[in-house]
Amino acid sequence: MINPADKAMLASRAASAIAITPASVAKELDDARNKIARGMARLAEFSEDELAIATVPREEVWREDMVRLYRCTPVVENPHAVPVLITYALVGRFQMIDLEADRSLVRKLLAQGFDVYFVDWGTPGRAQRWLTIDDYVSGYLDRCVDYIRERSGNDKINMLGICQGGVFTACYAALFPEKVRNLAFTVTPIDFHGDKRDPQTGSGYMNQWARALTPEDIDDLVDAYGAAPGSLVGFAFLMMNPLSNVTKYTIDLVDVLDDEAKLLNFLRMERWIADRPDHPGEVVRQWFKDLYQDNKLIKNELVLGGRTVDLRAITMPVLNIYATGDTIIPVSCSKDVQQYFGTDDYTEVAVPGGHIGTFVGGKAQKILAPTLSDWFKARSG
Amino acid sequence: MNTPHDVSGVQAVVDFWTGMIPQFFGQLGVHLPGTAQASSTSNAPPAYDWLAQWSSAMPQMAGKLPDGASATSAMQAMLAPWTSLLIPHATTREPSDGATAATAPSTGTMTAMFNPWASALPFMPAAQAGDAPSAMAAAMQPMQAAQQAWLEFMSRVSSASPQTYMTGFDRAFGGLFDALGFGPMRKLQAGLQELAGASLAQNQARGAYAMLVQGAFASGLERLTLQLAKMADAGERVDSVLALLKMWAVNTEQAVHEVLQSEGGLAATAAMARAGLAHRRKMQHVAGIVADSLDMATRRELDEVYRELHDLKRELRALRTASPKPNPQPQPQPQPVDAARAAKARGGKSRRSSQ
Repeated sequence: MINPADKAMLASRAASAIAITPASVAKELDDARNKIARGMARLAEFSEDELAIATVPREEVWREDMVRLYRCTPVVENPHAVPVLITYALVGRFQMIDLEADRSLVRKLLAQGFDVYFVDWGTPGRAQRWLTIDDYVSGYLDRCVDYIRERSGNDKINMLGICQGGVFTACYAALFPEKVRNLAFTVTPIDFHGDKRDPQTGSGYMNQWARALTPEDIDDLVDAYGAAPGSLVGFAFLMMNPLSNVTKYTIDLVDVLDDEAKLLNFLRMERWIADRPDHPGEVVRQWFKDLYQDNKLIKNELVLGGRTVDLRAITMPVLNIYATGDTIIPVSCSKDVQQYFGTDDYTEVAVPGGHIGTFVGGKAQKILAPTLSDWFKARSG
Repeated sequence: MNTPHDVSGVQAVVDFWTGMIPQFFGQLGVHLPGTAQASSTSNAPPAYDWLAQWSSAMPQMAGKLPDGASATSAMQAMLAPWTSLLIPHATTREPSDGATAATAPSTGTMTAMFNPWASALPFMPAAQAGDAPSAMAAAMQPMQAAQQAWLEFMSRVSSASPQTYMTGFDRAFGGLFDALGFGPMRKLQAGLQELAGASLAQNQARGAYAMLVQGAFASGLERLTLQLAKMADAGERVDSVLALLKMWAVNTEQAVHEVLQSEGGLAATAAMARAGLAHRRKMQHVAGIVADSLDMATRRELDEVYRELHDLKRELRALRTASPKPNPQPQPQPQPVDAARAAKARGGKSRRSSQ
């Protein structure tokens, strides 16, 4: 707080930094108007094909309830023998791994000769409110893995989990280590209280919100909603950066309206953001209470379907990729977690950018896929 | 930055209900004689007017009984479409040819049986004429009048709170009103009162949160001033409105983060979430009363069914996993069959393809 005496002097100094004139304002407004006019025309001209996301050629090979398993069409004649299964989070759709042809983790892995599968969790409705983390991990995910094992003739496959999907994958690897050859995860929270050690402004809202609620509040949330609506989850994400989101849809949008490539990037990202599925209530309950509130994963106290998830059972090679600017999953929740796993082959890699930027950011794109590719190749011979 | 699930807002609640209820009933093919009438009658206050009146009255209602008249008219407006379904006979108008009780055993017998009693009820003429809002108003009249009389009487003889009087009224006369067919109405009235209380609590929680954010905005402006002063000292200038706006946003966002991530900010956010959930639960309670009255499945009942299904699916999959996989039997290869022979075998005639 600035004291009143200094305020006037400060304001006077500050005012001298503002060199905005009526003429400059008029010119700026004129520029913005022209950009908007051109941009509006462009917005209407884009075809649906141009706006489509996740267009990698693929085949649905397995389905159960609303869950689908896809196999991406290999682009080399003889893909690597050990397939890779990618597991995304429930809070968003898998399309993030193939948002655009030139910003696609999947396509990059395919180009490296991998046989890539991914799970689409679908859109759970109210009828799926009772699904638990165990249903996902020991149920759907296990059956996907079994399908791939059988089809590929491998006892063990490579797994890559992303964010919440990374937690699911880690739990899976702990419960079914005999089926996992190599475990990689990206932007994945392992220590859910890591943010307490290293609090960062603007980071770790979800951790803090969850801890500010009581277990009874979580029960109320689940009981009141059944399945947490996707729009509610989306709203929570918006509230993590309220001002940035205001400027994103105003000033920043005007800036990109005039640039076709940037505008397309923006629109495709919006398409992904808008497609936010509901979250089964029982998953929410356990996720918030057992993980965000009680941090049971690293304590080896998380129980799924009567079985305790012991991270020390993860003895296969582990690759942990985190984003240095991740505010959704604070770095301190993902970084330096080697001690919790039973493996001797642990690799940790930092990529620049934020949570989503890991998959679509220019700099991160240059690191993520090559790192995964090299790491899997070296351990799949 | 509003979402469809920011349902705690008064207007959002109204939009939701006013939009969904007619559609919901329409999809079920339920005939609602009161619906068209209520919507086309300019005298009938629209539901949002009611809620607006109610919410504006809320500051005075803190801890008190809602104003009986406004609560009643509010409820009447909101429930107009349902009235005919909730009030006996409203949807079972007697045939105009005078064939009444004897020709319709299910409802007719009851009508005949209760006619002497029903004719004494003030809402019957309107209900039988299919005038749902009027019937509703009439239906609530005796209960409201009795409540009002009770309140006035008790306030003269005692200094207890209106809520105490109403509890006493409910205990003394609740059973009687239930016997007269006012059960769902009484539940609804109580549910709506609770909903109003939850709305008030939610508005208070939102207010506390808004105050915090407002403080952060003030702090953001100070930060911007500081940044500009530093720029001036360094001989730098900002010559763009948009750039200045971005600087303001960055500074304000930092301030907002600091406030909302503070202990007080997190507590205010949690309180707002809690109040929103409580409000939603009250709405669901009201909806449950209505659904129950109409003999429709409530969310609780549906949830139970979903849970049962879920458990059964889980058991089935466990059984499948536990039982050994049957060895796949080689399937007989389909043999090319002459179409004419096949048709003959079926006792029909072969048809030549038109292609």
